[in-house]
Amino acid sequence: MGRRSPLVTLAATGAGLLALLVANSTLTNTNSYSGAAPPTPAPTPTATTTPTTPSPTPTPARTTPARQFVGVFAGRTAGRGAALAIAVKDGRSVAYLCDGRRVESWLTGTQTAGQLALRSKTGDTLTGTLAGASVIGAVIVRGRQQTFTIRRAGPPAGLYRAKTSGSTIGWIILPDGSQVGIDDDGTPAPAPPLDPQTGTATVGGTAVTATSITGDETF
Amino acid sequence: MTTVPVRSASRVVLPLSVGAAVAVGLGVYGRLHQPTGVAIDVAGFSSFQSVKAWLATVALLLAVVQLVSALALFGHIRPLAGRSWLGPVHRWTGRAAVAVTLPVVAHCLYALGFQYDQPRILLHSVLGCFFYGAFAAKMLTLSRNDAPRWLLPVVGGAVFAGLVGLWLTSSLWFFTTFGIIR
Repeated sequence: MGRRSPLVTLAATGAGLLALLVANSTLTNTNSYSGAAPPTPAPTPTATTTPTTPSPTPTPARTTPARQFVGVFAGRTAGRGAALAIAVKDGRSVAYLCDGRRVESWLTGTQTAGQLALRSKTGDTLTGTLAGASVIGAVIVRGRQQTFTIRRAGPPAGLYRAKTSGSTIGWIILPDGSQVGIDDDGTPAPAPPLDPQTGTATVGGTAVTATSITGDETF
Repeated sequence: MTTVPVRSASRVVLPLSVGAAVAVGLGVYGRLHQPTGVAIDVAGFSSFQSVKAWLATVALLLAVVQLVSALALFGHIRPLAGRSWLGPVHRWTGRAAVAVTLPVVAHCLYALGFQYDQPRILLHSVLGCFFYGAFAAKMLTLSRNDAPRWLLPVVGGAVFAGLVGLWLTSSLWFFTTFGIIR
């Protein structure tokens, strides 16, 4: 018996792992990222926002009240150097990650006791901690994790978004004044420059007005 | 005559090659499977990342019990030598340690995959595959009475070292990055 029990343990471990992988795929397949067509996530029981938006938070409802807080953070992620901006308004938060070329992600979620937990419609996640004038955390976009420490940024630095009939444009203005943006009309492409004074940009000959994201928006 | 060296070699080669195959298989799955980046909600925890950090910490504590009980089983801890409960304690803490790592590795493999963007992430991915390979090798070693005496401590030590490395590159990073949070 002593010689067989390790094999039983090994088999049980393998079966357990397989069962958990299957459970993962059945529990989460509605939210899984697909490179071809972004699936529409189903609202989860934890949804706390309006019925038209999917649950923006991967965290369960908690009893700790949201810290009263308003602020925008902007900077670059470690290593890969994509631009990242996070707007926090009391218990709500919006983040935008953008490499200025092809990869972007809009995330919405919550701020609870200084902890940020955000999620995009395609399953990207961002977790972070408000630490004084910084947010420290990690963002996973298209399965790639990037860590970041970004600092609080005052206007004109911040996060801007414009929506036209056919496209959504996002801009991050970094604390040094440089801009990173993507115009997504189905195919993400670099965004035209945004005039931070007027909050307008010219797309294909027409002027579009961008709104400054404060953190309590829903998309 | 010629079968003796072959059989003697198979005592070592068989567990180790199966372990290596498990490690490579996990790595290939982690690389080929499209990572989903999703997380499961667990009540009372801020994110599944923190659930994983705490589960790995539980596994590490159990692994320390594993190390101590293994040393005692080999007679290196004199006050504990020969106690009849050492074997069951070692077996069951080991099973529990591996069991609590399963939800962690399932999420790692399914949602994140094998990555090498940063040294920490590369090391963690490699160690994750190595740990389960070493675990498979250890279980196979245990199942054979004819394995050489040195093999069990070596594969057991590899499992322990793998888990410690995994904890350092994940839970310790998490707790130092986000604070000790649930």
